[in-house]
Amino acid sequence: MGRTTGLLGLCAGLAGCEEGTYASTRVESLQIVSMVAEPTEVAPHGETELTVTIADPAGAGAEVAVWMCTPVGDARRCLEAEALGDAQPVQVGVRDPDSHAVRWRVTPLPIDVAEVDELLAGGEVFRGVLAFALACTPGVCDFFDDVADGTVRAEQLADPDVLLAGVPMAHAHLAWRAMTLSLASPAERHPNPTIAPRFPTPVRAPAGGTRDLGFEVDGIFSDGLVYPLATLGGFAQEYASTGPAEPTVQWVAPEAASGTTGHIYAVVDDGQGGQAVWFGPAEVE
Amino acid sequence: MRSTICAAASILVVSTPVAAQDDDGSGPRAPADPSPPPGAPPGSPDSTEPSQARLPVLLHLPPAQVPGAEAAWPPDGIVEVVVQVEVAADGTVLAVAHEGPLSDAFRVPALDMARSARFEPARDDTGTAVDARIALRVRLDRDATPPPSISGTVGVAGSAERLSGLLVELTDDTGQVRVASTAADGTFAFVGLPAGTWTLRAGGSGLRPETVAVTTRAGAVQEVDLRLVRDAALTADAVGAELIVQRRPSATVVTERVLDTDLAMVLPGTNGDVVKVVQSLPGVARSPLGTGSLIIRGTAPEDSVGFVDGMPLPMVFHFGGLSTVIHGRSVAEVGYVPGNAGVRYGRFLGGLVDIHTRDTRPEHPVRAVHVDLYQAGLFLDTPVGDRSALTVSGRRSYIDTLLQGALDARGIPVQAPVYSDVQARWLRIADSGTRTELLFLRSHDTFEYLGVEEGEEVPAVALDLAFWRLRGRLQQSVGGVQHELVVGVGVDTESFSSFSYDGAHEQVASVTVRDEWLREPTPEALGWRVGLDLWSGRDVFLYDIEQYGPFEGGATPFHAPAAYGEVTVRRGPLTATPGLRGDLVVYPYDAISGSLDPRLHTRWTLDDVWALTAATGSYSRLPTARQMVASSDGNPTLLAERSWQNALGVEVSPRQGLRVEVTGFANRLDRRIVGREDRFRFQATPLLQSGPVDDGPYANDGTGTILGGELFARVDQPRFTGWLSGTVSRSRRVDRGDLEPTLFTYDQPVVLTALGTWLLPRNWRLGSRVRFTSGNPYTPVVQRFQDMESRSFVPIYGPEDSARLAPFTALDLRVDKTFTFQHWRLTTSLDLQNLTFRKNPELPAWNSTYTTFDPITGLPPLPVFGLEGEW
Repeated sequence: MGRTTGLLGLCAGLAGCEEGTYASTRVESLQIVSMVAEPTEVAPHGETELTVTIADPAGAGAEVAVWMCTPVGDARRCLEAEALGDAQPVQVGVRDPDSHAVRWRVTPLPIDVAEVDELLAGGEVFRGVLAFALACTPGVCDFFDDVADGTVRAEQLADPDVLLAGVPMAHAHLAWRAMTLSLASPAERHPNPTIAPRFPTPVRAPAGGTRDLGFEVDGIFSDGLVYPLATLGGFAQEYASTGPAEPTVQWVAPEAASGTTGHIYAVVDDGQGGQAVWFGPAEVE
Repeated sequence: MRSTICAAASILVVSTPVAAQDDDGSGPRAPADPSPPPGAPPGSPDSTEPSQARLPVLLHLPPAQVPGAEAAWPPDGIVEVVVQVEVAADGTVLAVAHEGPLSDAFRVPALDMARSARFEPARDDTGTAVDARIALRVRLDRDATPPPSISGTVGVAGSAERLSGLLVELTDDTGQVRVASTAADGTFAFVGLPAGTWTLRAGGSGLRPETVAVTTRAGAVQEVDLRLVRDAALTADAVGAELIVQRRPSATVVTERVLDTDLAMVLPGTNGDVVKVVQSLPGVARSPLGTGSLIIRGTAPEDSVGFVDGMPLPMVFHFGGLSTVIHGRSVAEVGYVPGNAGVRYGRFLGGLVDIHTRDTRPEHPVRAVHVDLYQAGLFLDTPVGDRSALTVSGRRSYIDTLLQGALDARGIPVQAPVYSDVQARWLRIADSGTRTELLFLRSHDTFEYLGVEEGEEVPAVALDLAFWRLRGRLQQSVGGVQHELVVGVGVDTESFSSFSYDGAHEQVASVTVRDEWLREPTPEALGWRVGLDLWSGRDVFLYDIEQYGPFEGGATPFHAPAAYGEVTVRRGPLTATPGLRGDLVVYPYDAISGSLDPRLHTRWTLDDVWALTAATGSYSRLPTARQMVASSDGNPTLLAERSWQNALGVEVSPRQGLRVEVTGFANRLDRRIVGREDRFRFQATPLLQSGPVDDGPYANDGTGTILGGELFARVDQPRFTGWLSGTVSRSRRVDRGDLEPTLFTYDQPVVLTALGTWLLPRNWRLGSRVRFTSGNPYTPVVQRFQDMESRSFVPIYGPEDSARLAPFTALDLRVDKTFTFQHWRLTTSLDLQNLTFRKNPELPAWNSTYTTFDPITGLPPLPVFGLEGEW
């Protein structure tokens, strides 16, 4: 993945694609912002709460589905489906307009895998289970009909090319993250970080103006980063480090009419599987 | 007080100006009587009074004027005249006289000659110069060549070049014109001119005429050194007429175009690079970002090959296509064959470019220094002794030093490309015509794109390409058969790295031997060509680029012998050349593969206007070591890739200076090796890949079809050369047997180029080029998904190469001006591309979230100013 980005980055760098604000900080269509598991570590067959936060700049709402997949072979198959002989379970929900999120209780690895057990028994962690989340504008993705009808196919859950075939980019977003399996006791589990704003909300700036936004983060970091996103304008930095200094990013308000509103999101990733998200309103003065 | 010593001497006059001597060879002697006694034999000593010192010594005797037509010569054509001469103490002649009956036709020139003679004066006992009187006997020879009156040389201003075969005109005040021709060393002479004032004029095609006034007088030779200024605009027969010459007698291809370097280097859009002119010819698709990749007749850059005098080169252009890897002045001409090459060439699927280095010995040293926006170069070509020559040239780009500061200031993490090349050649041409040559070539390119990893700036993409060659060549004629033996050694090195986890390195050290015998066909006899083309070496490679498939690494020797032969039959208007080439590659203990390629070329010359050409043949590329060697995950059962090329052409020359060629071609590719895709093969090719990568095992599962037609209409006028080049084509590929056909990555259905260059007065040249090209296909991104930990987006591609970039159009301009000084010349050039500022999409690209298609556009107009001094 990183290699692909490196080569494509050559094109982007030569073309000077990024001007003013980074594209990755601008949320222009339905987009999953974060996937936070609490607790971040669970044992096989254990449950965790998965919170999927979704930005919806169009305000059309979103139906969301999540499922687990332990890739095998060429990563176009899921171990769960092979163990079950059928597509693994899929949970669906609807984005809450207040919390911008959907929450489920999920079981990252509901099956017995000897290799995983052996690894965990040795004190290691296993991060080979992926949690997938699909957010779609209601009525756009046939996948939700398939879930309702019980006709989901295993390859849909293992191959994004199959799942997203024919789905318009502006109305669907598929994301995944690795879940952490370990045999650690609750007290020894790696905690999620926390993030809080050090500025008043709503965030305001004149059209085309900027506003520095500092965050207070806490946690156990390893190359921790804060990723800012906005449905209104964008950010001058793609990310900020969670180093000793207060991570600060600069919001750039769009050239829009006064009173135009949107939301700002900030996701902190501790580099060890822990995440936290903050969001708040923003407005062009 | 003047004292006088009488003396007598006999002088013979011969045809050369100073070739005068005593008739007995002992020098003048003092006479007792100034007049010789009647009947005394010519040249006998007449003096009986010994001199106390020395008699006058003749220093200079001017040539005699030829007696007029009225002179009555005796039958033997010789008249001797005895002239009394008084020699002053300063050696000049005080008086002359002749006694006795003699026609004025002989007496006048004899007296004039004696009057202009110069002497070492006579001396008395004390050694003081004194006046003296002597008798000179002048001999006039009717049949002797008259001595010159005006002589000199004609050369080129600003150089040591002398002009041979040039007409020099001499006009007297009555308008009568005499003409002389310069010899091989540039010398000329007018002889037997009467005293007077003359106008001397020299000029010629491509030379600015020079006129000087010369006054002649009896007995004096006027030396004139004329230096003419080269002025291409004055060329009666435009240089451009020779840009595309007729095919060589031994060429057996439907379409071979040979480019003369002198004009090719000043055509618009080339930046002075001779090989880049190929990109304005039919069959060549436009390479992205103006790079020099050779995309010939619907094939990939790696399918075509570059040669130098028939020896393969790993790359033709430096990275970025800014320049050919050989100094342009070291190149005599460039052969471009878009398809259906002869059996001499093998191991490729597409077209070829063969760079022919200079193989002549210069008469005078030629030195040149060149600088432009990108690079600086040196060139020296000098004769060594009577039969040898030494040529040394080299270049080094410095755009990195110029641009790096600007790039850094703008935060663009690119380390500008750096390249250099060196060529050295020693050539010996024996009297028999046998040529022996030793040639050394070296080229080196580096490029880096910087990125940040773990807070440190590291090379995100780094390329390093280098090669060297040492080649010996023997060319001789043996019983009417041309024999060429070429032995070369060299090392090619290619390295690539991306951050710290992707890397590739390949080094091929090899020896090449070509032994070829050629006899040109005649109406009475067949022509034939047979040869061996041997290539052996060791290939060390390591490819660890996850995107392209699993790790590959190995080291293996290889032997790739080939043999070829063809015959050429001429029967009336029809010429046919059937041939066969066999190739083999052996990776000891691992794998073996081979190919047999029959080829046929025909030409039917209907008349002076029309000619038809047709060709068909097979072309093969043998599997590489990394594709075949099992220890590196290769496939030992691979067969040679094959291209079956067919072409049919019509050539029309309706009038002098106009030539039209239409060629249709249909090529079939089969047994293409697919698998780990090597589109990013360290070529001078930008990353034009979009879409998923086939990283499956190697297999001969690929096929392809290429159909197209080419038009080439060229006009050559005295002051204009231009052409219209058009190509229409469709190139498709099937990578695996069960996949649908897709467009070839570089498929460009329409490629049009109109180009012209005008020769203007006073060594100005103006050229322009207009281009229209279909955009390249690309694979669109239809969806994407995201890794929520790295935050990176992964694209989901639509059907392969199902979208196409917008067409490319551009207007280019080039201006050249040459200043000529007494001992050197300065040529300035300005090459401007894309004058219309059009933002042509060159490469597909998206923003980091794949929500916006944002193709990379070409460079804005960049004035490339160049200077070249030659002396």
